[in-house]
Amino acid sequence: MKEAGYADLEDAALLARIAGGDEQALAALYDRHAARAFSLALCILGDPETAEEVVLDVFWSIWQHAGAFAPERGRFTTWLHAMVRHRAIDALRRRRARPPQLPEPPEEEMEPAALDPSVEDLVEARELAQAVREALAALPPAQRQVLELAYFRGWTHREIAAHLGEPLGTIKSRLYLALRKVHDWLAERGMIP
Amino acid sequence: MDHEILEEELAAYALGALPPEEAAAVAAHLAGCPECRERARRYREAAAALAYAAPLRRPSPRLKARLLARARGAERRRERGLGLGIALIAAVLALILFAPSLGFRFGAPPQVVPLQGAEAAPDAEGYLILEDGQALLVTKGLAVPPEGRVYQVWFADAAGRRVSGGIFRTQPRPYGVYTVTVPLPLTAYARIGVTLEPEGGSPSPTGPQVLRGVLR
Repeated sequence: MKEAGYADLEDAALLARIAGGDEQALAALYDRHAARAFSLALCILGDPETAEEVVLDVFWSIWQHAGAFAPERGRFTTWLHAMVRHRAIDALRRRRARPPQLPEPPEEEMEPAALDPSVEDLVEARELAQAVREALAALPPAQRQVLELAYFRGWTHREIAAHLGEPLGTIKSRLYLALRKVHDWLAERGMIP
Repeated sequence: MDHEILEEELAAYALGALPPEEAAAVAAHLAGCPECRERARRYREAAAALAYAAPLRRPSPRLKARLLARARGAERRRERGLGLGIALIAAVLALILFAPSLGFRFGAPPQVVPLQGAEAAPDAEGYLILEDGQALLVTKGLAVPPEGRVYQVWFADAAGRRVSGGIFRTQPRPYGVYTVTVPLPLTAYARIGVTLEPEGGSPSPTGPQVLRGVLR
């Protein structure tokens, strides 16, 4: 392993070291999470170059503000993915380009062998990815659609309602039902806290 | 705010699918409601897991090299602000979800007043979130004041009389969140403004205005 020792540290421990200016810790955190972060940005933007800029920006701000992350507030990945999503959606709006297709049909997980994360992280992420795909597949298509438009396009419920030509109230309840089902599906399987 | 309605609102909020004003209103409610805060947290975890629905792809190896080179100072520091509404929402959300002791109370629906940049800071913007006589000011793009100066919040009535809402100093960040002292009765005031003042604040505004908004 390239970063022997670091790969075994938890995210919070890596972040504490990053806050102290440890570049190796940054490299280890990147190795562990960059592929998922990039995949999310790519899914939103459809353009690898911009997606890479988003990931670079996010990890750069982690480098600068690692101390701002408080482990008691939740999982690092929740925080990371929220930042990636926000910035990717901002980039999408700035570009005003046609967004890419939503992630359908679900594809095979690629083995990110070159990334060298710890085995536990990989298994955990793979199981979560599998569970999320199952949860989405179990949704009625109309519910899945609004959830994806909200999450991957960054549209508000009003924008979704206008796009689909449906009443706002319908979209609100679909969004709620969809997210509720995904939550329950994942929580029953112990995949989210 | 009705809890039945809020369940749908919370889900949309967790997904970032509320317009900024509605998101700010939900955030203000969460500040005073631990029960809804816990629900919002659970929805947020579920929403965050949607990231895993994206097919897994690897960035180019060059990206890691660029990151590490930049971290070593090889690339010049390049600060970029967050997006517009998103940054404000994130700021409100971060503060409110994680600062339960802020002291908001559950009661009348919160009021959100958008603020525009004034002559001294045309690119700044913000929101004032008012609830039950307490207020949060969220600012974006407001520069760090010069040494010996602070920002001061003012509430003005129709006759132009002004009362201070407190002072604050911005940090070198894209956005900031501050608590504001709300004069009572608030209905007596028509406008809100933020000016640059000497350290410690002034009895009435003396410096240039950086933000302004209209109270309903």
